[in-house]
Order: sequence, then C-alpha cells, then structure tokens
Amino acid sequence: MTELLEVEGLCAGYGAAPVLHDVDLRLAPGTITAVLGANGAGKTTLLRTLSGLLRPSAGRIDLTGRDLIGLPVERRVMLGVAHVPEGRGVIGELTVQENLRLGGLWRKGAGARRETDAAIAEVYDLFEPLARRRGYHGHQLSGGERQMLALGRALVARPKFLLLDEPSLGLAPVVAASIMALLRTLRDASGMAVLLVEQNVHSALAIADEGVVVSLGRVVARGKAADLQADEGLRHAYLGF
Amino acid sequence: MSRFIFLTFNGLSFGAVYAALALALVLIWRTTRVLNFAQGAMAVATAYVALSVSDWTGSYWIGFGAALAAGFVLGAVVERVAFRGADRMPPLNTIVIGVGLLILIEAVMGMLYGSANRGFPAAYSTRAYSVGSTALFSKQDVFTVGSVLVLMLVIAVLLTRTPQGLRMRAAAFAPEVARLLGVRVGRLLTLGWALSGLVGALAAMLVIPTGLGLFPQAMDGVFILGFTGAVVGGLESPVGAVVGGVLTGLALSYASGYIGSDITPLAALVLLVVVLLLRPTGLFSGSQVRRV
Repeated sequence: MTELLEVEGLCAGYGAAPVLHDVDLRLAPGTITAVLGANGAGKTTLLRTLSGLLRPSAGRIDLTGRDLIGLPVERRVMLGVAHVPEGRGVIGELTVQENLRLGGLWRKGAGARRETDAAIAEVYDLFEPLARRRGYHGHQLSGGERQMLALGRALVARPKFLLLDEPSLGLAPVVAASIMALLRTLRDASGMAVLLVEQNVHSALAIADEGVVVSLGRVVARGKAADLQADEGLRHAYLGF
Repeated sequence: MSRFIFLTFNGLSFGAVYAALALALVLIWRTTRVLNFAQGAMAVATAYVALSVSDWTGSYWIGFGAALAAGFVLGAVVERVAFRGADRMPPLNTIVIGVGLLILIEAVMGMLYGSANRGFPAAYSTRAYSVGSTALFSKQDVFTVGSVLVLMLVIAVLLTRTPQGLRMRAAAFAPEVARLLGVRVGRLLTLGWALSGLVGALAAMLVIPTGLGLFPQAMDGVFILGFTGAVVGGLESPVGAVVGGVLTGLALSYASGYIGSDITPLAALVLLVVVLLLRPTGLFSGSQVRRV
C-alpha cells in the first residue's frame, strides 16, 4: 500500500536536550497506529515534531510525497495535518461554534465558508451533545464534551493525517471507550491515517491496526497491534502489564 | 446641579480619550503580555505626522487621517522591530524595551520638531454649548466621544463578527492551539499592535488640541491615566478598558471640579487603590489565572 506518511531518522529535542533518536515511521491511509511507551518516552515530542511545533535536528518527514521539514505548522495544516494536543486544546473563552469554525479558517477562496459549514454540520451529526451546546463556551463543557469538541474541531479541517495525544486522559471509562470506538468509525469513513498516543495500552491496541513502542526516544518495537498485545516479553518490558 | 452636569460631560469627553488609550494598551497586553510604556510617545509621534501633513497639504482632515495611518504602521513596525517574541521574554525585558522606546521616540521628536509646546488645532470648536447659564459640552467633546465610540464599535465588530477577529481572539487566548489550527499567530500579533497604534493615534489627535498642546512628552501624563483606566477595567478586557477609561475621566473631572485641579492626579490614584482593594484583578477581569 502507498504510504501516507513516511518518517526517517527523525531526531528532535528541546534545546540541547535530545529526546527523539533516529525514529522511523510509516503510516498507510485508513489506519490507526498507536504510539505506546512510558511517561517521558518521547511520544508527545514525536507528535509535536510531526505537526511542526518542534523543529527536528535531523531526519525526513514526507506526507504524500511532500517534504514537511522546514514547513511551519500553519502550512502543514493546509496540507492535511491535524494535531489534537494533550489537554485537548479547547479554547475555553470561545463558544463551541467558534471553536469549530476555527478548525476551518485555514481554507481560502470561494467555497471555503460553505465547505467549513458542511464540515461543522457533520461534526454536529457525529457529536449530538455539541449540537445542543453550540452557544456554550468551551470552559462550560464537561471533559467528554471537550474531547468531542477537540476531535470535532480537528475533523472540520478534513485532515489526511490526525495526531491525537492522550484522547482518553481524565475521561470516565465509558466516555473514553466511546471516543475510542468513534476513532475506528472515523478511520473507516474518512480514510485518514491516525497516530494515537495513549496511556491506556489496552484500549489503544484494541482499536489500532499497528503499534510502535517508544522507549527513551527510540522505537524499540513495532508491528500489528494484535501481535504487540500478544508479545508477553514486550508487554512486561515496556508496556507495564 | 449645572456644575455636576458640566463636569459629567467634561469627564465623559476626557474619559473617552483615556478609554481609547486604555484599549490600545489592553489590545497588546492580552496578546503578548507586554505593557507598552511607549504607547503615549508613539501617539505623540503620529500627532507630529498630522501636523506635518496638515501643513503640507493645508487640510486638517488629511493630516488627521495621516495620523491614524501612521499610528497603524508605527504599531506594526514597533512590534516587528522591538517586540517580536515578547511573549517569550521575561517581563523585565519588555519593560526595558518599552521605556527605551519611549525615550528614543521622544528624543527623535525633540530633534525633529524641537521641545517647544506647539499649538495644535482642534477638529471642531471647543466652546461649550450652554443651556441657560449651564455650560454643557462643545462640538469637540461630541466629536471626541463619537469618534471613540465609532472606533470601539468597529473594533468590537472586527473581533466578534469576522473570521479575522476570531483568529485574533484564538491567537490571544491560546497561541499554540491557534497555530495548530492554521492561524498565523505572528501576523495577527502584528495586526493587534497596528490596531493599538491606530487607537493611540486617535487618542492623541483628540486630547492634544484640548489645551494640552503638542510637545514630545505631551502624552506622558495621559498615558498614566489611560493605564489607570486599563488597570481599573482589568487589563484583560477591551470592554473593561473602555469602562475603566470613562470612570477615570469622570473621577478626575469631579475631583478637579469639586475639590480642586491640584488634586486631580491623586484622584486617579484613589480610584486605582479603591478598585484594586475591592477587586484586585480589575472590574472586568474574569479570572486570576494567567496564561503560561
């Protein structure tokens, strides 16, 4: 299958402190890849580097054949990269509707408004609680609703490549499960590739097609999600169960 | 009673100017956490531009428009040259830059135009209309309040009703998230500074003709009062800036009228202390949480 995203030899860090070392990654369209590892392994740094928030010191990032290195975050958004950061990034001072509209403001030209309106309508269909609270401010929403909003806002951009950082963090198990189930539905419906960072290894591997295990900034294992889950040695060494 | 009415109109007129200056400060503060100590000096520079253009063209209104345009451009240039990346600087650095810029602009204005107080014409008559023996307000007062109101309405519509305003608010509240949504935060910061420069220029064009006169330090005192208004309103809120500015104008007018003009600066201090004692984050600040 033609890869949507190809990452080779990616190195990145904060100032003089390197975090990622020589990371390789390949994502096919319509797949979910779970990034697993302990706290401080470099999972969030990987996502920040892929979305452009962090400049890599070495390596290559290709999205559908286009080199992303050197492109600012804003340009990557236009190429189809969407990043839902840890903590969700819902802007509490803006309403639900404004948060969603923001997700489509990168579009330019005739028809941009219409396309964004259509995408917002789809998000409201997908997340009914948001439709009932479109005039509420972000800070008035529950944790689950905020996650829906963060995810919905990313979907308004109709991304090719979605980066999700800890989507279940702080959510009730039943809400987290519904968000995870929804990711599969979205993957099937949209064909986008999802890179999912998740502390809950079980639920991440349950919905993912592939998995990569990161330790101390290096990819130490990769494979089919089911195979990773079945690998007892790997589970004990890196995944803590 | 007639004295009270006169003082109220007088306070509203000056309050509109302080509100404009407060708004200029708040527009920058909420996006970059910079308190622009050079705001007053920048505004004076635009008044000098107005003077030069009016002398050259013979038209007051072309000069007026040139001042606003110069304020817009100067605000953008100051952000690009002096304050780019200010949101990541320690607060002391931005204060030093602001004060340095204040000294630089005032020195350059002094070199170019001299330090003498030049008369500066008002757009309209400053003679107050009277009802019976009660002086109320002048045409210039109406123009002052009206133009500030119109500008604030335009800014309010821009911020709340347009895509660019939505981007600006997102960039102010959560710059990193805004970037992740494709918002070019750097450009919007420049636009915010440019708007702030324009609003400051309007404040200068309205207050300098009302007896203040034009000299390089003309806006230093007005800046303090605009700053008072911004703090009273809560520094975070454009609406608070407007209300704080008007309250400052009214407080000063009443203090000056009923107690004496010598007491005016003290009135601003009393207002500031009372409001901060009752509400330490200002009247319209919703939260004490600081963006980090």
